[in-house]
Amino acid sequence: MELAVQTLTNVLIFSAMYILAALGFAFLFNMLRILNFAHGAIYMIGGYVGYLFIVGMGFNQWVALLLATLIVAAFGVFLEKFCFRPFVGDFNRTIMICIAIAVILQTTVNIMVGTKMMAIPTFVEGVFRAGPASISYERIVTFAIGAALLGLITWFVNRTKWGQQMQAIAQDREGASLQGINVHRISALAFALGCGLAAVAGCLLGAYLRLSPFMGDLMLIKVLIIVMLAGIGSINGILIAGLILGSLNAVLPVLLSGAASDAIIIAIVVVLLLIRPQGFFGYEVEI
Amino acid sequence: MERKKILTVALSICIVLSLVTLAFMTACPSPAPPAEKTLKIGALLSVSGWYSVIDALEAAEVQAVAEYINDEGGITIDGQKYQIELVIEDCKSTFEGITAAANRLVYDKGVKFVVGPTAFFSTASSPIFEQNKILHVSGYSTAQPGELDTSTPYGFIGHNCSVADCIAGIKAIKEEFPDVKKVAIAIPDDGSIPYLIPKVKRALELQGYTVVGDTIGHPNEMEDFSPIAAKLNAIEDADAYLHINGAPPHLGNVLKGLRELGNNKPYITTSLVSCHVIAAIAGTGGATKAISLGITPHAPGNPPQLDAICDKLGTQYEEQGVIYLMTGNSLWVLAQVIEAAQNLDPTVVKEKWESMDTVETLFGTGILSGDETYGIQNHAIGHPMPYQKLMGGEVSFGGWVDVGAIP
Repeated sequence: MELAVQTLTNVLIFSAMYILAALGFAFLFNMLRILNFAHGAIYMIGGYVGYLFIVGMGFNQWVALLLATLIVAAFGVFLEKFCFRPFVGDFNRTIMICIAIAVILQTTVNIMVGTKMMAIPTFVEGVFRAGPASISYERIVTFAIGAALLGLITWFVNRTKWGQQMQAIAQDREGASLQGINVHRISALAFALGCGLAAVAGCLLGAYLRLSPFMGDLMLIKVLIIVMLAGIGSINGILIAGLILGSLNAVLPVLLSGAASDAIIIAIVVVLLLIRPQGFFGYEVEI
Repeated sequence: MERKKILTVALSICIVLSLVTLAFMTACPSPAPPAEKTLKIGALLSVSGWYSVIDALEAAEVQAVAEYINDEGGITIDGQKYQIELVIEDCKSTFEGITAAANRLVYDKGVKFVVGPTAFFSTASSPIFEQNKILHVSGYSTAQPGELDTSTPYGFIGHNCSVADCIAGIKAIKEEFPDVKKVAIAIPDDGSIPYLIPKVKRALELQGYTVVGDTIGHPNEMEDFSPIAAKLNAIEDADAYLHINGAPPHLGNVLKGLRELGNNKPYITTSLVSCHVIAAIAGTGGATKAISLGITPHAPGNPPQLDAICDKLGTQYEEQGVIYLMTGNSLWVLAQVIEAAQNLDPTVVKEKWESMDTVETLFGTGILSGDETYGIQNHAIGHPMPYQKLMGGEVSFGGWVDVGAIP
C-alpha cells in the first residue's frame, strides 16, 4: 500500500520535474522552430550559477534563483544574437552550433569545477507526511513552481502581445517582419525566456537531484521526448506529455528490475510516435 | 755537474711516472652509476563522460602514485633503475572509447603493462590486451564474464574488487550495527547481477546474515532514484540496506529517498565513495546512519605509503571529499610484482604474480586469492580496507577491516 501511494506521489513529482525542465526547450521550439540541443547544457549552467550565488557568495536561495535566471536569460540573448541569428533557416548549422555550445559549456564547467558531486542546498527543509505518503517540501515546491510556470507561459503565449508576435514569427518569419514586428527583438526575448526557464529548472533540480557537468545530457533526452510527444505548436501538450513520461519513469522502475525500464520507456515512446508522428497536440511542419 | 745530472734524471723519472699514472687513470675510469631508463605503463581512465566523476580523480591519483614510486627510486631490475612513465588514455566512459584507447596504448604507444580500466569497462579492453599478451591490472571488478576469468590469463585485479568490498562492508556492519541480521540488497544493473549476487549472498550467509526481498537492480543513469528508495523501503523485513557498487549519484539519492520516506535503517555501501560525497547529495536531512568504504587521510592504522600518497594529492580530499586509489593501488601492486619478478617480460611477471601468496598494497598486506570466485588462481587480491561513518550529517573515520583471502 505504501509503495503504491509513494509511486503515485512520484508520478506527480516526476511529471512536474520533466515539465519544468522541458518548458524552456518547448518554448523555443514552438516559438522560433529552433531545436536547441544546447538546452541541457544551459540547464546545467543555470544550476551551477545558482550554486555559485548560494554557496560561493552566501546569497539567499530565492534571490540566487532570481539572479541565476536573469544571468542565464542574458546569456540567452547573447546566444541568439551571435550564435543563432546568423544561421536562421539553416537547420544543419543550427544543430552544429547547439552541439558546439553544449560541448564548450560542459567542458568549461568540467575544467573549472571538476567532476565533484555537488548539490545546491535544499530550498525548503522538511518532509510532509500524510498517512503512507511522504514527500519532501522541496519536491512540493518544485511541483508548484513547475505548474505555475507552465500556466504563466501558456498565458504569455496566448494572451500577451509579445506571445502573439512570437506565434506570428513561428508561422511566417518574413510575413511577421513585413507586418512591422521587430523579429530580432522578439527572438531575443524568446531566447531570454527559454534560457531563463532552463536556469530555473537547473537551480531547483540541482537542489533536489544533484549537480554535475553532465546532468543536462540525460535530461535533454527526456525533454526531447516530451516535446515530440506534445507536438509542435503546443505548449499545453507539454502537460500531458510530461504526465505520460513522469508516469512511465515513476512506475516502470518499481515494476521492473534494473535497466530494462529505460529501454521499455523508449520503446513505448517510439510506438506512440509511430501512431501519431506529429505528437498528441501538434501539427506537422517542416523545419 | 754530477749533481745536476742526478737531479735532471730524477725529475725526468718523476715526470714520466706522473704521465703514466695520469694515462692509467683516464684509461680506467671509476664505474659511473647506470643511467635511469623509463618504463612505460599505460592507464585507461574515463576522464570525460559520465564515469569521469570517478576516473578524473583516479587519473590524478595514479599519477601521484607513479611520482611516489619514482621518488622512491623507481623500479629496480638487475641493478637497472626504471622510472615509470605513465601514459594515460581517455576512455570517454564508453566501450567504443575504451577499445580505441586500448588500441592506441598497444599499437601506438607500445606499452607492455596497463592499469585500468575499472569494473565492467575492462570487458572491452581485455580481448585486445590478451591478444597481444599485455599484462593488464584492473582497479575493480564486478565479476562479469570477460572481466577476470580463464579468458583473461594476463588480467589481474590490483585492488579489492566487488566481492572483497562486500566482505569489507559486511564486516563494517558487524562493527557498527551488531543488531543487524537481515539485509536487503540494491545494485546498479550494469550486467553484473547474475554473476555477482550469488557470490555476495554466499558471503553474507557465511557471515551469518540473511538476505531478504528481491535484489533491487537499478539503471546506472536516472535523474531521480525515489522509486528505488521506495522499493527498498517496501522490504519491511530488512534490518539494513546493502548497496553494492554504485556511483555517487546512486548512493546519495537512494539514501536521501530512504530518509525522506521516514526510513532510518542503516544504509551501507560497498562502494569506495567517500561519505562526504554521499552527504553532499543526500543533504542535511538524509545524511545519517550510513557507511561507505571511503579513505580518510592520516587516520589511525593507515599504512605510511597510503598517507604519503594522500599528502601527494594535496588538497584533493579537502576539495573533492574523496580519494579512491583503485587504479593507483593497482599501479603500486604492479610495481611490486615487476620488481619481485626482476623482469620486464609480461609473461614472466604474470607467472611470478601467480606464484606469490601475498603482495604489499597501499592498504597493507594483500592476499592473492580468488580462485573459486574467478576461476583463475591468484589473479585477485583481498587487502585491508578502511571505512567511514556518516551520522547526523557528520563524517568520521570508522576503522579498518581485514578482508582476508577472497574465496
